[in-house]
Amino acid sequence: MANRAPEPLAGQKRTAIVLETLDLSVHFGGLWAVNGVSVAIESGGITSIIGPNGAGKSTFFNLISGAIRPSSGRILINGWPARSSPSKIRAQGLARSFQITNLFPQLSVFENLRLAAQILEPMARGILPVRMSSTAEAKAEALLTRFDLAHRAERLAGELSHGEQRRLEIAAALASEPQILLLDEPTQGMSHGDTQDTKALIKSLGGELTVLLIEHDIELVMDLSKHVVVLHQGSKLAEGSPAAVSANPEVQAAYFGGQ
Amino acid sequence: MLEAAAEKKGQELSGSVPGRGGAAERVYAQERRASRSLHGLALLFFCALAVFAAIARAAGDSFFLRLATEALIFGGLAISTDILLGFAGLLSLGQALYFGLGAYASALVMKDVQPSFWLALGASAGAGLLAGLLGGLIASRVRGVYFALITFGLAQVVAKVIYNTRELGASDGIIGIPIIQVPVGFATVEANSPAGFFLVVFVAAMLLYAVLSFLAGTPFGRLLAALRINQSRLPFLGWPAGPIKLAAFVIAAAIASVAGGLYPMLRGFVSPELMYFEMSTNAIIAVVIGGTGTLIGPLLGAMLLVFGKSVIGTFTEYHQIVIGALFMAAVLFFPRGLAGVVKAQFGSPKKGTG
Amino acid sequence: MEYIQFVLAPQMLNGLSFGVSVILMALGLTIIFGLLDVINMAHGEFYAIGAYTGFVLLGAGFSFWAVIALVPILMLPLGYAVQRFLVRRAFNSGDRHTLSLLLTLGLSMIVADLLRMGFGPNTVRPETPVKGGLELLGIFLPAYRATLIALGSAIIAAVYLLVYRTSLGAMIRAAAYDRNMAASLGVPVERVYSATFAFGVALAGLSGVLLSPVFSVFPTMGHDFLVLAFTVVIVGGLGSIKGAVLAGLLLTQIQAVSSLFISPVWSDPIVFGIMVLVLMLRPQGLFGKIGYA
Repeated sequence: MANRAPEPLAGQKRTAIVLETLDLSVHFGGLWAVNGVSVAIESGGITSIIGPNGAGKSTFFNLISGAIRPSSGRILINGWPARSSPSKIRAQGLARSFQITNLFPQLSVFENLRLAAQILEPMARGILPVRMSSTAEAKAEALLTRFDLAHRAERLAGELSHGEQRRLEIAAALASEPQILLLDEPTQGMSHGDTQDTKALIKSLGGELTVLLIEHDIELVMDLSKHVVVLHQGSKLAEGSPAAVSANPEVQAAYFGGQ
Repeated sequence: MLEAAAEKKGQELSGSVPGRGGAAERVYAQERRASRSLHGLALLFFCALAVFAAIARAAGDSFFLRLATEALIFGGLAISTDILLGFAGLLSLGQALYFGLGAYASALVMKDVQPSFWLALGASAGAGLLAGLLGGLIASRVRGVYFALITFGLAQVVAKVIYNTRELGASDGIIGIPIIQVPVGFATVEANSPAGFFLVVFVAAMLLYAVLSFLAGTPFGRLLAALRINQSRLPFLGWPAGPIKLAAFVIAAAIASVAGGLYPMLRGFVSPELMYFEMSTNAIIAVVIGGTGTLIGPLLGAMLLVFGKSVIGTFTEYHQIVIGALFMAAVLFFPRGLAGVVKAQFGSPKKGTG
Repeated sequence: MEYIQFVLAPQMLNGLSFGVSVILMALGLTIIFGLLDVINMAHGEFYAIGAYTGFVLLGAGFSFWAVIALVPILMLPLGYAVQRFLVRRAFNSGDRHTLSLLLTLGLSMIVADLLRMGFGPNTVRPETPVKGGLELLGIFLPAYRATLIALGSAIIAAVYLLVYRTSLGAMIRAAAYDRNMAASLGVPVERVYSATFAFGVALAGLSGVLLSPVFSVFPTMGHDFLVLAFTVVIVGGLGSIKGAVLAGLLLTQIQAVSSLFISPVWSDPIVFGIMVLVLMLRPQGLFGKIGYA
């Protein structure tokens, strides 16, 4: 049971580790939701976090993104300690999407993205008319196109279909141009067609930045990921390439056997 | 590469403005429509008020002019309440605290330091900024119920302290404020000239509306609106909620204080009642009736409330019953308020398709 | 030693008698607030209504003991009506807190003026029902205050038993914890809410009657008291009866003892300062759970 991130062998070139957790733990009441998890995520590509329900995946994301404080352990972003609040962690280059769509339903789709991109502008632009935040505006436009939401730009986010909202959720996370993108069950509740489209999107994202993905769709995970981490009851059960993980008997037991 | 391709596509769509995509244009047009309906209402309001004042002046009236002036001053407090309620989504039950503090600061300066308009208002602004900062540091860490109760408690406590402070006039307040001259460009206006002082406050109200409308159209204003809608997401977009709330709180407090600073110039006295719960409550009522989050709504509501009270007051001294009932009816059946209804009616494009 | 006997202890006991009444008021608030998720800004008015009703009944010839029993009973239907026709509307909307706050605010304005209309702005004071004093361990205490302590403690204990030891109490707690789950288990949720609100209102009224010989009766008597009641609720923790009791005792004792050393003007700011501190350091109060409000 690996509890420490593996050291590179002598002579082996070390890829940049953009995100690392060291013995990360958090407990609620008497329950250890995340228990001594140590992972080292390399730059680029898609790493998936999988595990049965209740394994602690979303909690793990909450810890990394600063939504909750760990009880013990450390988080390093690009070698630097992760700051203590979500806004500071975003400044360190990490953005996330949420499992339950968490946007601004009474604002237009465009405004949702423009707001998400506002962080790209200098502070002073904050008290000038909105139109002068051209960088944010351009970013929002680009995202609308890329995520095929341009025709819905002026609709209120709350009026969108579920699939469109999930797309908007990812787009908003991308707006701040993060290096590390956390996607929490992005295809949750999507139709098959939408899921395939989103899968292609995530794949292309994996070529541009580092993606950390929580997904229940095992097929999608195995297809997209270069690296898989399996959590079970708060601890790291296994990690490795998709093939290695799916062949791991402990993983199989956790998923298909009793819990 | 992807961004460049997207930008190009956007250019093709819009055609007119290079670099600005079609989607942005459509959204801006939509937003313009909504704000234009409100600006139209505001224009109507100010014009009607100006006409009314001219007529009153010609007729030699002073009562209604003073009443209208008081209504506009109270409107400043109402706008202050709306910045927090309609924009940041925070219900303050003690906004009158800053109004009263501004009034006291202004009164003290005029009486004991120098009967100067700008000095008095400067003192009010300073008091508002300072008190707003202190109050904001306490209150902006919490939200919802706790925020309401903290602002409530803060106002009660400070009002009580002032009520018991002899140096500040205790329960009688400060009276005998000298009548000041308001320098307006090259001329001066006497504070006790009904039409003259009305004009001063009228212009101030218009300026306030203009400035706040501008702010509402800035990213800061948008962030405030987003705060009201979904506070928890904002930090993940890079904006810590605390400092934004604090900024809104301080701005609101300063506005309330400056409005309060005008009060002793009009009435010649200040008293602890200016900070009481009833004052804060009336401000909330004005905001709800006029329309939250619309900026012109609070001014409208303030005018209606002050004049309404005056009218009802000629029939019965128990006007709170009527006001309270109207308020509850508004909350239940017309939550958008007058300005809100105007915005919905005239500010939206054809509904449904799109 | 004499200081304790003649100054400190009587003051503390006075604080205790006051505290017991404050707890009754805060209990009503915390039960309504914590369990129904409704902010009752009109709670102070119910306190006043109770006092006035008691005053009227006393004037009509009822004995004080009868009045103590009658007033809460009379207030129950009032509380039920307010919940049923007013509060419930706020309940089903999205912005429940703000809405219920605003509605009860409007209600409090109307009631305050109605009281003024009905009874005039002047202060009235019912006679102290238990006269004289008594001696307790060498400490002299007005008899009525002692009665207050005894009676109030009994009522508080009764409330605690009701909420934690009866099936009605179990239903209330279930409905507070998870409304839908409780409904699917057969709990008549709507009626439980109405009953609970009525109960809270009755407690406020009772508090008003009990304190009326001490603090007199006047139309705005509810306002100051409301701040203190809310403070107790917040410090003790929303929805926590234990918290309301402990916070009520603590805060009134601090008030009572501190007024021996500093001007009473500062007792309110001190109490408020404690509330602010608690909100900043431990927002869920002494016994509350995070997630409320």
